[in-house]
Amino acid sequence: MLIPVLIGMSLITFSIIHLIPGNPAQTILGEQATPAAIEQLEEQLGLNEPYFVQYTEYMAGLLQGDLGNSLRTNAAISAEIWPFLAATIELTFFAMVFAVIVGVNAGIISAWKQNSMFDYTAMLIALIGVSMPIFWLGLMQQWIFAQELGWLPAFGRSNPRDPVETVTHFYLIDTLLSGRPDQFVTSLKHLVLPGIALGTIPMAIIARMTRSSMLEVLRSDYIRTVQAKGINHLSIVYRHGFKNAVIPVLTVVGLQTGTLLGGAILTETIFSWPGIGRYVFEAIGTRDYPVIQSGILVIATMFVFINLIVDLLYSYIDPRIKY
Amino acid sequence: MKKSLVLTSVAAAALLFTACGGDNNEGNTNVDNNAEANNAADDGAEENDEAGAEEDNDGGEEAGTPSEDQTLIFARGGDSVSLDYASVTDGESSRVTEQIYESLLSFEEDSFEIQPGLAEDWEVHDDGTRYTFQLREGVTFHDGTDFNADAVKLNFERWADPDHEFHFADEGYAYSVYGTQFGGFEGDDGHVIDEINVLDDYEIEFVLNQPLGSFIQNMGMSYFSITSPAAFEEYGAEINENPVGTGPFQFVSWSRDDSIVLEKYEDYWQEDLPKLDQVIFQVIPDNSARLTALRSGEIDIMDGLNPDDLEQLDGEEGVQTFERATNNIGYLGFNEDKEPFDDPELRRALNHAIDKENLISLLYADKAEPAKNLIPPDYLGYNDEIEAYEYDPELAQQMLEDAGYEDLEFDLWTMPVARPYMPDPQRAAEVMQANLDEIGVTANIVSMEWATYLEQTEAGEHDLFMLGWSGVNGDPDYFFGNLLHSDAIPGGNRNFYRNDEVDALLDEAKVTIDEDERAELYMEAQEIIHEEAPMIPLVHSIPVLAGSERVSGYVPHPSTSEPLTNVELMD
Repeated sequence: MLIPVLIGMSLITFSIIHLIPGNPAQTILGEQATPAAIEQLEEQLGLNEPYFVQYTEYMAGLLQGDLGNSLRTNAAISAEIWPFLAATIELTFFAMVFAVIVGVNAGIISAWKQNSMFDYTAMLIALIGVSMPIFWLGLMQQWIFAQELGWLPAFGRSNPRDPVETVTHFYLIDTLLSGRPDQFVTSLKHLVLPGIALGTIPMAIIARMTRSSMLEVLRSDYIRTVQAKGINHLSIVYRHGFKNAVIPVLTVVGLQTGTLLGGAILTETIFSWPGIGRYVFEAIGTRDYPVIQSGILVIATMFVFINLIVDLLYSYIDPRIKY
Repeated sequence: MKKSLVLTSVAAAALLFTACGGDNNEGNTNVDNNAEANNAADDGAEENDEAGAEEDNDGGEEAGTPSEDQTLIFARGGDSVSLDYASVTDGESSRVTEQIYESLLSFEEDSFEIQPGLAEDWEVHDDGTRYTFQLREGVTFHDGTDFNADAVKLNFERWADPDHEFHFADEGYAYSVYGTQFGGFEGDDGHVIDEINVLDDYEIEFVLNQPLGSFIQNMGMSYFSITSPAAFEEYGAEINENPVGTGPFQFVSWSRDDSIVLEKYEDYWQEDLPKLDQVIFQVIPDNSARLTALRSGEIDIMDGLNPDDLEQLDGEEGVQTFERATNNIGYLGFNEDKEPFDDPELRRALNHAIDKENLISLLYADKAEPAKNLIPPDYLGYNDEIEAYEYDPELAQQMLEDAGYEDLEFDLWTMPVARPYMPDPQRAAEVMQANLDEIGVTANIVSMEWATYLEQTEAGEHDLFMLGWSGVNGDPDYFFGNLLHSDAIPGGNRNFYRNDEVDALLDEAKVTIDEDERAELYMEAQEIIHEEAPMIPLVHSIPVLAGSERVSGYVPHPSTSEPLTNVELMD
């Protein structure tokens, strides 16, 4: 399944990026470049070859695990991409932890106390959350928590005056490896605003999905049977109810995680987070074809991979599901 | 002695500090107490003393004290492309390399006036076909090796010769600015540098095959700085991520699209400089987020202030603004290869239709000057005699009618990205569309993605288009030669303007060494250009930066890059 999806992906991205007009040599050299210089650079970069040849060369490299070299920086993409990927994974992880904890609990309680004040409030917040433009939320957060209150930093992954020693490029891990708990706290603080901004929409979707899924389960016969046995209400909801409502929620969590990994570009821009979304976005601006291709390929691979994990989790949670 | 020096610098800093804090409108572009450029043989150290003494004359009253923490964070919208300055043209790269590298000559801190750099003296021989430079002794690269004439020769040969071992053509390196400024590369017909001779360790000679009016200005450009030869040996094509120069700061680390860290070079040849211990160039892509970071004290200087935010900052505590002297042109160009734009009468009529003052107050927060010529007003050969086409819609309409145009309709091509000379292209287009509507002309706004825009305007697909140009070395040829010479078709001349007389004047000016003669030639060319009106010159904008009030000694240079050698943080 994975391989045809990825080959299809690479073909589609290759065609699209070469169909849009615009010349990488021109964008690399800038608007003040001479035509002779542009031509010379095109030749050096192999952009004057037929598309078919360019694609075959790229795929041949890919099969050997070579993601190609960036036109803009000359560096190998496989080496260059990791820090960006790690930044995005860390941010996504934090955002999803926030989204799941808040979303699932809000959804369960809303379903349990259906039509209560809590239910109405939570669902109203969820509705606002789903429809809130991220850039607006981000800028408001910055204004309140960074500028006015000064509690949290407005940009970046760490304090630039005190750089983190990178090993894995996951700052929460790296700071602990280098024995700097103070930096760990700083990095965590840097995660809060972008993490909440990024996690708000998934949180709202998860809350709504959990609620409707729970409502269905709570109305089923077996819950009534359990209640009849006189078991405490809240524990029914969490232990017996949620277990059966979790499958649709898990699907949403999986899809949302995949989306965040590739689609965090707005959050990454507002909070100056050097993640994969911005990496690919910058590449589109400069028509850095190999980076666009490989970047999208990596994002797609992760998307497929996460959904694979979700599928496997189904059968773990519900043994009736078999593949 | 040392103590008094410190005191004077503190006093001078205090002066700057109050000057900037007191009146944000003025910025500090006019802090040029020592504007007298010293072309002659001044020793670098001596010059520093002089500058210090001069600043002392203005004596400050109250003083801030230098802060313990001398780490400055400079926030900007985008990352550098490469730290090999000669192979890229973006301002974000030169902003950083300007700290690490130095050229043979340098510019005055707020103008393009030439000063000694790595060369402390130079001479012109044989009618401008031979130049000798006396290099500064005792200068070392950050890797500890000596700076000398061999290093200079190697760097120039590296750019000129495509077969040079450090040219790195196969790795995709191209030195387009070298090609533009010196007429091509080794073996090309127009390439002006014939020979480079090392006379002794600290004297080098350039032999040209024809005079080049901008040769000395070129030597001050950050594109022609000197890299350590040993670093080429060590890093090869990875020199773009491992810069080694002679500048005030040395490279520490770079994480892409995030930050570049530099630290003070302890053996810098100018004594007691730089004042900062560390400089961090931080990428913050969003303009509003960058301003928030400045207000919350997380950064010290920010580039790219929205003109709209400028008013808010006026009088705000803890923040100061800096103005960069204007060095650009924003214009509306005609595609002369298309009807009806081949008619000069129509072009002149439309020149009367655009209200530049209105544009400046609406979009530039008054930080721009209306343009009547292509080059910025401070440039050599700027023709101030020329009478601008006044904003006069009635006259414009009359002229169109007289020339027999009715119900004129065309596309107004609008840039999709903001540039210093055009901070909000979409709104600018709307304003000008309204101007044109007033005289009965329908302009349809057309916009497309940036790379596409550049390609299509170069190919001549457009009608009326919006674009601009920024200077790099303060030389008029960089504007005229690239924008209005017929040799620049296809290329920078997107107006498709062809005039043999103008071409001849520009060609002659290019090889003229005498400044007055050169100026004459450019003035004459401007008269013809004004008469033929291949474009509507709109504005010369004044980019504004903002910084924390702790920053002292920061003077933005018109080229968009300035060394932070004299900058200091105060308490």
